[in-house]
Amino acid sequence: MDQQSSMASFYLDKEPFYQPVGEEVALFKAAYDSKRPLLLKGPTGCGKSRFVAHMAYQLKRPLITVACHEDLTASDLVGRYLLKGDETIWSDGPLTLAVRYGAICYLDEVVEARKDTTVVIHPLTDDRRILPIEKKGEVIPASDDFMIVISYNPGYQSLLKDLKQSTRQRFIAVDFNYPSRDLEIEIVSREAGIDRETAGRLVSIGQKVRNLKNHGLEEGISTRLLIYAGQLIGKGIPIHLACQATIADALTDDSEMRRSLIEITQSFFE
Amino acid sequence: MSAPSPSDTLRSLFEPTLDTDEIEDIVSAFERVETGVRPVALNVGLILSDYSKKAAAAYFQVVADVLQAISVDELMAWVGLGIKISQESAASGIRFFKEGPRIFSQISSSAQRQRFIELGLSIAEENFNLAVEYYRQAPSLLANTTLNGAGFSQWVETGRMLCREDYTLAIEYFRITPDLLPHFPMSLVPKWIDVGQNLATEKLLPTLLFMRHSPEIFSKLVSDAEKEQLLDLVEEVSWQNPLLAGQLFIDSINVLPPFQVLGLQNVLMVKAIEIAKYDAALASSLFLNGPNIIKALKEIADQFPAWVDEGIGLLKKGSSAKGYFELKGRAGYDVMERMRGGVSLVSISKTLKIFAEALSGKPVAIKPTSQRITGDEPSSEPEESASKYPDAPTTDGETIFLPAHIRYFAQDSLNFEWYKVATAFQAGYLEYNSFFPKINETVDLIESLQIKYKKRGGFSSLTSFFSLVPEPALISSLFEIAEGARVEAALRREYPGLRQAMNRMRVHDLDRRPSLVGLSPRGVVLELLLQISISGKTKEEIPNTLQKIVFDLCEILGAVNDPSATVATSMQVAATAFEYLYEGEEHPEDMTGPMEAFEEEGIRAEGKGEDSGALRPSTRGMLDPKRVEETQAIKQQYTDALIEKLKTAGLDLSSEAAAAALSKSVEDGEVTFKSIRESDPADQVQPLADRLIPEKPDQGNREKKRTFYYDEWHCEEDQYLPRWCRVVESIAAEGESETVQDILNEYHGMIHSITSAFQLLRPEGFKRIKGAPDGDDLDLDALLASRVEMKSGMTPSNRIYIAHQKKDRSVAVAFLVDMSGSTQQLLPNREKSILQVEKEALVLMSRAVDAIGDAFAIYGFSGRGKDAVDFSVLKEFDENYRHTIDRRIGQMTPSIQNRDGAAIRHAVTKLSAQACKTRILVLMSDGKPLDDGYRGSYAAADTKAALQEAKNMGIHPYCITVDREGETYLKGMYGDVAYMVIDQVETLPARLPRIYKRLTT
Repeated sequence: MDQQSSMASFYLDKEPFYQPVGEEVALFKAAYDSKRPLLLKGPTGCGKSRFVAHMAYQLKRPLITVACHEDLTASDLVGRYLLKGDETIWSDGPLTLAVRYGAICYLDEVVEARKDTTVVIHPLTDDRRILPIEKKGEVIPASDDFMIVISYNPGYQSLLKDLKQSTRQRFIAVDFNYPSRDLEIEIVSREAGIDRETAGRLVSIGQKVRNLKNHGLEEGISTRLLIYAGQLIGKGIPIHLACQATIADALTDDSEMRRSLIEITQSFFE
Repeated sequence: MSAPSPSDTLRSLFEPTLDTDEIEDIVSAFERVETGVRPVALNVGLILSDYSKKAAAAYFQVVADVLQAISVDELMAWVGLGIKISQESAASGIRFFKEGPRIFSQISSSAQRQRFIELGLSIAEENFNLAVEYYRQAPSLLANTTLNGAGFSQWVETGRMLCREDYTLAIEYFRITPDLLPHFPMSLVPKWIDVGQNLATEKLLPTLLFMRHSPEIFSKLVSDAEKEQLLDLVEEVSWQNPLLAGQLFIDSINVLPPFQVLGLQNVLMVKAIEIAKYDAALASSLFLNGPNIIKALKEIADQFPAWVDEGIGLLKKGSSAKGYFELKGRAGYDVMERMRGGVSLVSISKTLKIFAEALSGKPVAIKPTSQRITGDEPSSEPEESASKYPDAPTTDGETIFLPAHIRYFAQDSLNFEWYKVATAFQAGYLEYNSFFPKINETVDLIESLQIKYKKRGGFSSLTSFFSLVPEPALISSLFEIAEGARVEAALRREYPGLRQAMNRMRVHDLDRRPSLVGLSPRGVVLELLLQISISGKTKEEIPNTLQKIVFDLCEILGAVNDPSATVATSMQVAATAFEYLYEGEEHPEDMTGPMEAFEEEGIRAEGKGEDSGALRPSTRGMLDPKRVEETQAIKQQYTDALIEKLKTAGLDLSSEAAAAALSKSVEDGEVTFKSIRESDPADQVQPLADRLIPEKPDQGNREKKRTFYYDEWHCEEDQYLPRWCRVVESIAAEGESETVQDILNEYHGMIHSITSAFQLLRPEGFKRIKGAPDGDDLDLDALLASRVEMKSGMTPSNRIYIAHQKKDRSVAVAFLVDMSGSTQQLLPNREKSILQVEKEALVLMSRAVDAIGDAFAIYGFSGRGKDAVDFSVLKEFDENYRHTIDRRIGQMTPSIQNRDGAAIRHAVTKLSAQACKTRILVLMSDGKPLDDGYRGSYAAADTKAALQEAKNMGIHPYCITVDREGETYLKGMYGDVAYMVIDQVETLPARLPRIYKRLTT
């Protein structure tokens, strides 16, 4: 079938680099084996998405990622009728695809989606493991290999962007945080292709800036941003400019905070 | 019969009145008159004697001298004038003639004499006193060449005119002008008189004073233009405040000289005139404060015009510039600082705070050194170094204190760098734990010192460690050097980017080190050590005798550069160095001079004068372990008090959380860590505790009051007063339901119609949008049409879906009602008070908004003073509309005053928590904001600021007032914020729902 063959494109052909921080790999595998959904929570840019990709490769499953947003409707996930030639044909949404063909469905930043949208995953996340498709009057039982993974960032302290208890209590949760200093140096140096010395300084900046969380910054600086900074440095961009572009300007629009961040980054590089 | 001789005539004339000697005097004086003119002179005198014998006697005494200067014709005119005066007053006549010789000796030309006497006669026609004054003063004017003929006539004419208005003034005019005119153009005299007369209030004195001071004041001014400017200024001020104008004029004698030195007197006057057009009092504030301003500007005095312009700018913006020109408050000085260049702490404190917090990993505040609390125990303790170096960077563990301004360098980037390095050091002391050594690292050292100096203790803190040795001050100085060096080394390792800045600052620091001259030997040693520690070299050469000591000590102290060094290392090396110095008796040959034991604070008190102290701080700043330990101890007590308080309220707070809350509170200035002796921590933390204890809804303690703090905008200082107002929120009391029942009965029909109208506005939950390009379902009609189009060869439409769109009104509205005392005023035509009408409006409004389904809240506010702004909740957003709320509305009672700004801020805080797209604040008021210290432009500016804050938060403020005069001030206060003045108050209940509908649809 058409769609099945297209599943091939959801397989990862290269192993994504992932440096385990704690026991998350074992937890993921256990959840997968026991057919339980997984909730990844943690600050932005700490490696949640990368971790999922890494695990999909490890488990040799296709990975279907849906970036959630405010206007994401249930149809966007499940599928809808489309017109093709003279007939209307049903087109599976990403979730239905994953359910049918045993993929890992990763709903990134799930709290961004409307609350009524997240409810469609409920029958999939308990014992039933089914996906009812109302429009077709069809109920699809999930393939044994199907797994649903959602992520969210509890850092957004908005009441509106919180996960409903009825949703969150269906998941095995893994709490992510920034990696420890040595690990982070390893990650930054490897991902950005820079020497450990420079990576070490970037990580020091990261640690200092994370001191500022809740003291002016909503979020600490992510490992991802440090990698970006490293990549720019690796590409020959002057260090100060690289730090300004990836750290100070990316993190804040507040001019005083920005200036402080620049001063902090400059303190680490001559 | 021959005529008797003139002498006999005189004798017989005066026989009855004068004694012989006097008569003979007169006779011999008259005999000096040339014989040719003697008969004329005699006859003239005899005519005079008909009017006054005494005046005639005076005449005969002087006539010989007078005739030396004038002709016989002139003599007759002169006597004619004399007769006029003698007629009025014999005494004046006598004086008139006696002064004759002096008068005429001053007037050399005959024409002048003629005019002089002619004009005198014409004046005497009007007022003899004035003529006398004229007669006395005019010659000196005629004598020196300040006035030409025309000018002289004008001078006389002016005097005569003046006399017609007020003869005292005219006399004064003649008396003063001879002194004035040499320094003052006659052309300006009329203006001068006008201005002088402007000053007169009910009494003439101000004008007289003005005239009397004029000669001196104008003599000090060089150009006529300046003189005119001064007159202009006095005149401009006098229109508004004559007394002030007079004061200003008299004081100008002191005000202007400093400006003249700088050539700025014109500027001062021109600017003052400009300001006087707005506000005379302000202009004189500027003028009279001029010398102080120049003094404060010091080296940038030439920028005085620009400084004044800044003040005028403030004025034009509508804020009062009084404080600015009087140099009270900060505004004026701030501008000076800005003009002076350099970098001020205020401008970068947030940047530095973030920087320090990032480095140290703990919350710190940045404050100017002036806010450091010093010397809270005035009695026993010796002077602290803090008071000796009030500007030294230092920390108490919670706050980093930095100088308010730095202008060491021409480039501001370097001045900023100074701040940055100084901040890095202070943050470094916190980051690298300079103040709290770990006991396990120091136990050996302390035990050995205990044994050596036979003392106990030393474990609990750095200060107790210092007091183990005989000279705590010395070891503390050594420790400061060592610890500074350790932290610098650590900073250089950790922050390579700081190295260059630190290198630049070390050059600067070394440059600023004091001279060794005047220091005691130990002072010299310490100073040299510090210099070497800062920069690796010394400013002056090390004296030969001290070389060994200094090098030995350097070696000892060098241990702190090791990456593994901790504060314990610094303590160790300080102790070693101390022993080396203290036991200096071993090297008496090296230590020249007396080695008297230092006093407790000896090392700091050494030398002479302020600048010769041994350890003048550098960018490294000062270490003040005592202060840190005290602050820490006090903070602990405060934290305990806070936790205790919260516990009694049923709230368990971890000590970390409590400490963090406290730190924030200290930074905000709510709590000050005072020593326990001064205040009870429990009292100090009370407001904080009140804030932390959350309200428990519907659990019987809804009566509980909650306290909030809000900033207030201070327009004169151009800044927010942090946490200035205390808003006390409480749930409104419930009253009888009858009040509302009456309202419901009265407005029964209207309520019904409004409610149904509003129900129509209630949106459906979902809206189906047909013919959408995308959607959940196919729109069969559209699909069919599209098919048909396709079959018929047209391009089919792709709008064939039905979309379900959620239609949300999403409106939250807060009604904020003024409940100040003035609302109990009765309306003119009905027996209702303003508050009653407000109540009616609220009852109707509540039903309308409830019908439409919008989230809404009703708050009332009143209060007295900034610490008691009552904020009463009639309906909270999360409460359903029910009868209790009606009863609360019914119970609303007028209270005292209204401080709008704080109430608006609190309502905005509540409103901003509502997750609605449209948020509206409706302020219902009956007049201007008025509270203790909260009125006029100040209150208006704060209210305006509060409304602006609301707008910045995406809230739409709208003001409805029943004050008919509202139009005049609302515009200024609300600016472009929407408002409405309801002139017929009784229509409010009917109009409010309509206004609301218009606002939200």
